[in-house]
Parts: sequence; structure tokens; C-alpha cells
Amino acid sequence: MIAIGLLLGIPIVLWLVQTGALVRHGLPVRLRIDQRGLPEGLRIVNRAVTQVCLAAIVLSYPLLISQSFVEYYARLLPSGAAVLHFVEGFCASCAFLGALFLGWLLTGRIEIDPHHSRKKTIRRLAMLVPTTLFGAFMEELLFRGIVMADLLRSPAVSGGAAVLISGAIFAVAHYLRPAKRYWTFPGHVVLGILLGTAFLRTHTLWLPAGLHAGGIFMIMGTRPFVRYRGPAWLSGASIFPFAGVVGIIGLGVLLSFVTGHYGVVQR
Amino acid sequence: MNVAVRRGQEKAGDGRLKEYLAAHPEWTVTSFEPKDDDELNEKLCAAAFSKVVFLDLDAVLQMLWKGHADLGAWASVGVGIEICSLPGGDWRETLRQVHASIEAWRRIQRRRQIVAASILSAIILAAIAMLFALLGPAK
Repeated sequence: MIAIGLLLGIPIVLWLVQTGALVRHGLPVRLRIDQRGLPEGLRIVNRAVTQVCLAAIVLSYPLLISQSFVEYYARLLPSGAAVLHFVEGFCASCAFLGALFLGWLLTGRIEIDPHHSRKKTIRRLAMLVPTTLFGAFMEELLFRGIVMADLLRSPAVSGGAAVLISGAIFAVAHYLRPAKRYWTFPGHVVLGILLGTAFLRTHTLWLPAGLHAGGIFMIMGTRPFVRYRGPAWLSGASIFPFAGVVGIIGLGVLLSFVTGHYGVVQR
Repeated sequence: MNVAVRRGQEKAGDGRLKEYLAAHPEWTVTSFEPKDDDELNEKLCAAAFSKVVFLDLDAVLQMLWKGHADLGAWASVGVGIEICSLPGGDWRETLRQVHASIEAWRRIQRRRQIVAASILSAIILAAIAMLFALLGPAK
């Protein structure tokens, strides 16, 4: 359970950094990790500290379990045919979200309404691929490659339990900072279960990273052009189309695709 | 006085807006593009401006069609509305302009929907074709 311990350290570090910065700027201390209303400089510092913490966990975990960094991650991201799982996962997510968006478009649940300047839209689209790859691989390395792999290493935790626990941790981590909406939490749990199942079935990060990357690609790629008309419980909202009732059912279909096409690899 | 100005869809109307605003040098003006209608609506609802000036009737109507004009909320916080170029007093002319505005809006939306649906369909087909090529039928 080293990974969970490391992960629990992140909010503590973030809170200490936030408190130090607030005191230094003569602002009142906050009990929660909360960026709202902070000067832009402090927000950048908080974001940078979050990334540094995540990178520190990814870098230090193999050493803490007495393994070489290269060997550990080479096993999770092997070369060869397994790389194709990334493409498969990416395509499956794109097909799922494409169908979801098309359905919402035809039924008037979303509206096409470009809401950024041309320059900003081009900048966002130009950053789409790097954002997709960074987001997918960073989160997969952390939540499946470290947290779930660590749970699977414990003889007391079954594969199913590891999927559920890591899925719940994945979901909670997205709400560490105050969020605009909390009803999306069950959607995040189901997404965590899908990605965890993909990892359990293949024991490499390629398939979950592909599924995750396809999701980020479609959501961030459509974001500058789409407005949700709701109701949110049905169609989701903002960057959470998978969190509405239909989106969660769609995640269930993706889950059955993963369990139908990928066999369980021995632990 | 803090005044929000909502520009028209075409840049051609900017001259008329400038002329109108030049007659009110006491106003502190913030200009909003049509793409920022949601932001403008939020600020008006929050009483960030005491008045909003539209280029013409079509500019107000566009906000209405988009669902970004909470006129009740604006009124309740005391936001005044001015329109630079109002249609003549004849109600038939106003009705004609409203009809033209909604027709134009529907045309734009239809075109956007067709483009978006085509792109999404192409993505879905390409993704499914790739999956079939890589995986074949389920085991």
C-alpha cells in the first residue's frame, strides 16, 4: 500500500504550499485546497506543485519497491504487438464518444456554437494531441501503473477489489479541489472501473491509456464548439459527457467490449 | 457609467456603433463579440454593467435565439437596454426583421449541424473500421 500512502501525501503537500503562499501574501489561510480567488501567481505555483508531486511519485515508486525505473515502466509499456492496444482503445473511445455526441446533436441536446476567438480555437486544437497524450499517460501511470499495480501486488486484494479501489481513488482525486459540479462523481467511478478493468485484462498500460486518450481527444477536441442544452443528468455537461445516465451506460458498453476482447493475464 | 456593447455579427456595423457611442463620452464602454454572449449575459445578470447597447435588433435577437439573454434577470438588477439602430415604428417592419433574424439563425445552425454530424460520422466510421481491422469479431 505504498502507492496509496504516496498519493495521500499530495493533498498534504498542496495544502502546506498553499498555506505558505497565502501567509506570505498576507491572505487568510484556507482549510481546503482551493484556488478560487487566488492571485494568478499563486495558482501557477499550485499547479506546478501538483505536477511536481505527481512526477515525484511516478519517479520514486519503482525505487521504493526496489525495482529499476526503466524495468518497471518497460514492463507496463512493452514494445511490440501490445502497443496496438493503445490504438484499439483510442478507436473504441472515439467511436463511443463520437456516437454519443452525434446522438446529442441530432436530438438537440448539444448545440454547435463556437465560443472562442479563431486564434484561441486554433491554439487549443494545436495543443490537442500533446494535451491528450500527457493527460492520458500521466493519469494511467499514476492510477493504474502505480496505485492499482500496488494493490494487485498485495495478496489480500483480489483483482476485482483492486479495480474498484483504484477506480474510487481515481474518481476522488478529480474532486480534491472544489469542482463546479459533483454529480459527475459516479461517472468518474465507472470510468475508473473501465480503465482498471482494461489494465487488469492486459496488465499493460497501453489499452487503458488508449481508452483514456481517445476520451480526452474527443472531449477536448469538441469543447470549443459545443454547448450542452441538458438536462445534465441525461447528457452530461462541460467536459463530462460520460457522466450523464446515457454516458454511464455507454461506459458499460465499453466495459463489455474490453471484457469481450481481452483475456485475463495471469497475475 | 459602465456600459456593455454587444457588437453585430458583421464588422460592417462597427462604424454605426462608434458613432452612437461617440455621442456618450461619459460612458465607460466594454465591447463584447457575438461569441461571448454567454459571458455578457452572466455579467449583465450580475449587474456588472448598468446598460447594454446593441448594434441592432438582430444582435438582441441572436442572444435570445442562443438562450443567452435572461431579460428578466437583467431587468431585476436594473440593467437598461439600448439599440443603436431600431426598426421604424411600423410593427410589420419589426416583425419582418424578427423573422429574418430567426431564419438566418436557423440557417447557420443547420449548416453547423451538417458539418458537425459529417465530421462525427467520419470519426465513428474510421474508428470502427480500424477496430475491425485490428480486432476482428469478438471472441
